Amino acid sequence: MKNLIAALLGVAVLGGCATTDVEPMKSGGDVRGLTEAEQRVWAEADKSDAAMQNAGMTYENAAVTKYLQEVMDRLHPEFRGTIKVRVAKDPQLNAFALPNGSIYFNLGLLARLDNEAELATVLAHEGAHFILKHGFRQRNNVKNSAAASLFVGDTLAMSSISGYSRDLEREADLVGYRRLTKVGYDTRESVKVFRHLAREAEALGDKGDFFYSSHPKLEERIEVYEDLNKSKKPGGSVGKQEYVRQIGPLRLACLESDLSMDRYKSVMLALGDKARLADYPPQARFYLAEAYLRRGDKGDEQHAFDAYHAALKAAPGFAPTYRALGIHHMKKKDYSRAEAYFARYLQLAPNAPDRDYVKNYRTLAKHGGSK
Amino acid sequence: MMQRPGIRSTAVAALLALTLAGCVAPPWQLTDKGGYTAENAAFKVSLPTGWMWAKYLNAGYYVPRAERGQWLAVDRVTLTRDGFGLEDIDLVRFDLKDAFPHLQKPFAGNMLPSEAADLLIADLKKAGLESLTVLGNEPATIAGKPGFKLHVAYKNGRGLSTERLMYGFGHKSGFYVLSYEAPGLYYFPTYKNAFLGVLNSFRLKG
Amino acid sequence: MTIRHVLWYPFLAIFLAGCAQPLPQYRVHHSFIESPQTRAPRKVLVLPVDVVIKEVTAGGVAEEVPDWSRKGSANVLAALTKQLRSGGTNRAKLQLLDTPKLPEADTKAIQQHLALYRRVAATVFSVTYGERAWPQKIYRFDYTLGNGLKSVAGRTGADSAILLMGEDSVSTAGRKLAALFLDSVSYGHSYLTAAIVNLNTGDILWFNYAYQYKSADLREPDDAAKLVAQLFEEYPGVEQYKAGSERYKDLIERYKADGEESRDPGVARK
Repeated sequence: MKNLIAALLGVAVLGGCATTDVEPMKSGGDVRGLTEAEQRVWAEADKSDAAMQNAGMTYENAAVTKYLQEVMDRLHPEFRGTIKVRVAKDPQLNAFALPNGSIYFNLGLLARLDNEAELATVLAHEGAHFILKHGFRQRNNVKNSAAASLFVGDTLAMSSISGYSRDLEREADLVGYRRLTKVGYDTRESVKVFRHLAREAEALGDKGDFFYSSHPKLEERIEVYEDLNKSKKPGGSVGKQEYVRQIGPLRLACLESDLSMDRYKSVMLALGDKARLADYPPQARFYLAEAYLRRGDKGDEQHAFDAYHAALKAAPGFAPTYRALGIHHMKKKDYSRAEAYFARYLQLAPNAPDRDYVKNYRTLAKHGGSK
Repeated sequence: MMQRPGIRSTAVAALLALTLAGCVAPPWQLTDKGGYTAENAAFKVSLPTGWMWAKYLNAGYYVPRAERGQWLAVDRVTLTRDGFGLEDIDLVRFDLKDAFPHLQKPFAGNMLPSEAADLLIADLKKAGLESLTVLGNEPATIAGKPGFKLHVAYKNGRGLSTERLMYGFGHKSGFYVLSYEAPGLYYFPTYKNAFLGVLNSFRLKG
Repeated sequence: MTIRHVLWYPFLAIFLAGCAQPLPQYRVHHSFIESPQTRAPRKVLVLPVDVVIKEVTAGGVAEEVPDWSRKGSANVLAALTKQLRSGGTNRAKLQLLDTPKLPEADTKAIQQHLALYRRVAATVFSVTYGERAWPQKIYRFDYTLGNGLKSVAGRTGADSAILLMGEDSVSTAGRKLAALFLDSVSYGHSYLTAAIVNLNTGDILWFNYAYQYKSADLREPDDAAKLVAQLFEEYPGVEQYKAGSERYKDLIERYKADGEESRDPGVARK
């Protein structure tokens, strides 16, 4: 009898539940025809935008934002003015789309990609999430699953939330791929995006569900793109030079941000490869040295020392390297060398925010390590 | 993206819940008269008048972790005037091995003050303040020991700015962080001198 | 602190109210008690009302409905305006001023102070309500937003501002049905807080909350009017608060050195 009541109650409660049949958008004008339920989700997304802004989580760089927006507008021209791209001050390799057309591209992912074709892969994919109203469909699924969990228990409800998202990601991959080919990007570059993510996941000890647990495994996604590429002629625009020109300076900001969060593994992954290191500004060698020091494994002190000297050679005007070498020598009790490096740092960066620390260290070094 | 709750609100909320359940009575002490001092095994400080000292947080420091949170054994004095959301003076001695609890990194013997400050910034970011801004980071002397002064700010989703001023140093007895946090609007500047009075009175024992 | 936190504490206070304290539910600033004539608010503005109305599904998923929130905020504002201007019910003798269009700097300052107010209100709940409320903060209520809104006072001629903030949750039909049969599912609630703030000093002169479980819907003008009336029913009530808070002067002793609350209970550990 109890089961019958539960079953009847389940039907009654779920009977009014939200549908998952939604019409994708065809152009920016379609936002005027959103249903009431869709408008609610849109309004929540607007609040998220405001919260991101209020909390200072967006990376304000007009030139970079303009570049990303231009690539997005080429991919989804009928949504120009509706899909808005912003850079998020987050060193993690991720990008996400809100249901109101706001696309957030993390600094970390931007710094890690190699060329414009890879950038376009991510933008096309995130734009597809918006056009296909995935945010709204996901919300419906959460509501239905939460209601179902009253009657069937939480495990089933949770797995249905995860499973549904997997399908949405596949849908966005396919729609995004079509946009890439239409605009003329070389889709063989697309696979590299997931390879970057997979390497990061492995380096950070992640089990493979990198974005969030609902994403399909990265290997599966690589297979999807490779399958799609089989029926396509090779060729298309890669846009490496333009990408490096636009994003280059931002890469140092990202390395700085990674180290400020002790994400030394990410720094080492980004710079550990000689070919990749060559794509970064010369000062990047300093950050590699810092990452070795943070890791502190056997032999890392020497690796750091070597990297600092490589940084000195490649970027002799970059002040932080001198500070770091000063500290290195002071800890080795080589005070005269330490003092010389600190003096050079203060010469190159007399207004550095940490100049008072370095002045103290220089005084300490002058007096042979004691006050 | 939501900011993760701070350690303070998680611990206080948990303890309030336990209080209501009648399990734990968190004691507070009102510093009703001038010249009141707080003392533990590691240090001694003078407390400002009219503040509430949270005695139930004397020896524990909660660190949320992915699988299971952890209580670290510390020496601690933590106080507020109006409630922790408005002023929070927190003086903590960590064991050297627990100096940067969210990074799970120790204070190394030869660590310089600037290096300790950099790791503290990383620790704060790992604790959930990823978008904090560093307003100041400079050397400082605390109870005669060389250390650092770090001033940071962060905002919530409604744009309310909170400022935190931290003085820290490493010593054979532990890693000390003496901090003051309050909303930037009105509260931080108004009660900063109360914190500086506590800081200036701070003395190590032994 | 989020609106979730602001919501939790008064529900807590109500739950504990079985102790039947003589202290009124509202709070009065000590300066208002000391100088009830000179410190009384006279000319007031109403700052942007912030009522959030959510629809809650059977499974507990809460989603704000922007139209409902706009309607709820408008209903609360209309109810307050009517009650203040009707004369008959205006025991408070508050003169409601229209808010003119303010320069951007003032608008920004108001937004920042509203964000601060949320934090202060949450603290007021956690510290001055419930069985373990701090007696010194009840006896001498002195919460403030600081004097950052002085320019608004100068520009408008108002000496005070009313801040209204609240939340309402409306259950879907499915949730209401589930609530009939399942203990784990609750109905909606309506909750409103009000503060009267001196614009020159930022002092929260008067603070109160109103709460209804299940029976109010702020989308309905009559329900909004009832809740607003409940909120200001005892305003200003300075003498009653003074009398009710007197016994807290003695309770302060419990927290002083060697007092009952101050004795070392050991360490709270997980």
